[in-house]
Amino acid sequence: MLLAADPVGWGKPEYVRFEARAMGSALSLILADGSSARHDWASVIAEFEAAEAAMSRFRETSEVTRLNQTAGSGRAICVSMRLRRALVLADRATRMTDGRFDPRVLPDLDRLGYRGAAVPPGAAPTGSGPVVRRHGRAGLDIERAVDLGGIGKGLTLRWAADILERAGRRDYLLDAGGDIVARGMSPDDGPWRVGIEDPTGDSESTAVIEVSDLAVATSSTRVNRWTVDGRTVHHLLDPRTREPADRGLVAVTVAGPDPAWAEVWSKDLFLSGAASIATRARSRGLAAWWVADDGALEMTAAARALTIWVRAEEVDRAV
Amino acid sequence: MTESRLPIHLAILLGVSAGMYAGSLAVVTALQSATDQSVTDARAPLQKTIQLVVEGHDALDADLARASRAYGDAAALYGRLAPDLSALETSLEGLAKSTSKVSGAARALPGHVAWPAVTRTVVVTSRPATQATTRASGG
Repeated sequence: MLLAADPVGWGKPEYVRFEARAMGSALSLILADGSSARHDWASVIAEFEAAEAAMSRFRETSEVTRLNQTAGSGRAICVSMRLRRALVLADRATRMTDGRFDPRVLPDLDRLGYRGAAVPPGAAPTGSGPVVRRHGRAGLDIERAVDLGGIGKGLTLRWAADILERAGRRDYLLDAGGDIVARGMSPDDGPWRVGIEDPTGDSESTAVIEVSDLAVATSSTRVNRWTVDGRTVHHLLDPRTREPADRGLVAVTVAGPDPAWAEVWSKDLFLSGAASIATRARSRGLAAWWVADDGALEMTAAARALTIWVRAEEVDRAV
Repeated sequence: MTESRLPIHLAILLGVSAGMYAGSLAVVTALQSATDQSVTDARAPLQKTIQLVVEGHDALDADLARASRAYGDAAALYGRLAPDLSALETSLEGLAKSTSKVSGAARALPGHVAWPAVTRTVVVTSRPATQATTRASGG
């Protein structure tokens, strides 16, 4: 993690922007300047560092790596509250999404070449039994190694936002590699404006939304793509097939009150596929945007209410 | 001296006659009693029907009393509403006069209006500035 985070100017002088790297991606915080701004930023950095030490599968010394190395042994071990909460939430998310979200895809990611710290190959298929079994107040064990990457980042955003709230911060935007928590008002005295990345790699956003007191998360195949045995694969595995999802979608963005659940639902909708994503998103009442293989952007009615600009519609108006 | 004596056969005749009379009287009394009982039995359903008619009459009388009270109440309410209704009627008359005037004015309007020629312009909304971008995080 890069701790050099000098504030940079942002529009109005009363707001500052801090930048660093955490969890393998850029981390930034925009908030009103003041005597406590640096202290609040340091608290956020410390929270991300603590969360990474607990939940990063890329660290040999992290708690989850040690837990993964005991997967399937039936041996209960004690873990920190952060890791415990993450595992319990992942277990609940697996049940809520009918197994579309399942952190037990780690051995399959390993098999396909997206490796972190060494873990034993899992024998149990995903979706069989609970993600985690609890033993008393602190002990737990897992049957199969887990990857808490996405949900872990969402949870860390939630905890960091709680720290800022307790510090009295009401207007800020916290961005962890594209997963965002936006609270209160922006420097323009309106909602925060967030671009939705064009998954084809175009530098211009495919849409712009306005959010306040919401979290935004995106699941996309634009990054973490690689080639195995002559075929291109990506990191969004379908736990039911244990292979990279290929259901006609390239990116799904979800906005909701909690960053961890926004992350879960974005992955759930991505794995639903182009044919059924609209029905599933609307039945859940989600504000969701998705880009299909052909580049077309679609969204739910709840998402439309947050959208202030769509690139495709701008072209239509210009004709 | 002459001996006065009631002849025996006359006494027997009187006794037999009195006995026959008593028997006849008993038979007639019994027959009359039986007849009275059958008449009473035959009249019993009729009396029950008469009782039902009396009860129905009483209920109808009570309903009529209630209806009379309701009518009285409605009449009193109408009496209170009457001035308002009169005022509403006056307002409706005023509205009818106004409508008549508007109709006359509407008939005086032209059937169509020729819009002035305008220069067609297209305003392209540019992408708003953003403070962040949500993207694939790789998590």
